[in-house]
Amino acid sequence: MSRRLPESLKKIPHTYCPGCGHGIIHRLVAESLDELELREKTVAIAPVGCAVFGYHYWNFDTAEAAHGRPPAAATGIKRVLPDRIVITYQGDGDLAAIGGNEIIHAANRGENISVFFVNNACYGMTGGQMAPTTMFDQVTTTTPLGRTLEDGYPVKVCELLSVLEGVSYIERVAVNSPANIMKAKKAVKKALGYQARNRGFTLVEFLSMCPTGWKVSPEKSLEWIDERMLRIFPLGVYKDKG
Amino acid sequence: MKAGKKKILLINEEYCKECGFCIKFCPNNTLAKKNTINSRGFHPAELKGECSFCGICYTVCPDFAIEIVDEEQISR
Repeated sequence: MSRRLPESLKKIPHTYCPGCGHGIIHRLVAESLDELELREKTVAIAPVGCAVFGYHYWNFDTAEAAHGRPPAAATGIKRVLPDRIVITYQGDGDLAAIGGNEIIHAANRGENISVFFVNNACYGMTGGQMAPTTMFDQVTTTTPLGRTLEDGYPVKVCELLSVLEGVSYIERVAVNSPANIMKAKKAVKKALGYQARNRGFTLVEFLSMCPTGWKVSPEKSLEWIDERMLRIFPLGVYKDKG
Repeated sequence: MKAGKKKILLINEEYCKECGFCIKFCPNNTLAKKNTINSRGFHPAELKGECSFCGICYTVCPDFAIEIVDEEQISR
């Protein structure tokens, strides 16, 4: 089978670190939009964080929102242009920390948007500080002895949002092996398909590698997800209203 | 694999950042790091042997560096 890069990606190299999961997730979103023939009516909201440059790499309409506010910006765009596919692409610092309020209320209102949430358990862009999703004993630049109970528990976004009535589909996937990447793509297509059929709020959480923030090699970062993240953040479908 | 159409594995050496994912997951162990470096100082992946064009390297490549194309699609 031929494997060509999707039209929804621009033919330019990106500036993410070696082994970063953003490149894979960008491609999955782009491939899914191409295959569902939604590229020309898609508006994506880029976050603040490493993926802020999403608008350089995607070949469809994008907007930029203040830190944590893509769900609010997406709400506005979707309500004004209800025939568009509106997606937000957010990291864990953006969505779970400063944007915790926006995501909970957008989900609770059942806004018909798709949220792609990239969880790398730290603030990657600013050098690997503790994020709400950082796990116990994880060493970051702001928890040099490892996260303790004093810093709170890791926030589990899928579990948290799945109890809200407005949510139609939530799944947690990983991008650390070919099998997991293929499952992740199915989840992305499902979320976009639900939005196209006006099913309400959809969210896909990706457990993504951050070799630079975790201070490990790209190859070790794949094992790091299996060994450490999956125990705290189990994969699976958390809600599916169909 | 259908006979007839010849495939080519294209590796964009300038995009490659030497993460090694394609080398780790290649089921035929036909990919390896090149001895030379690209303009950004990384050793790009290169094809060493017979490729079965399964597409796993394309799936795992985070840097948009690998594509599999039909030979006839390439303009010469």
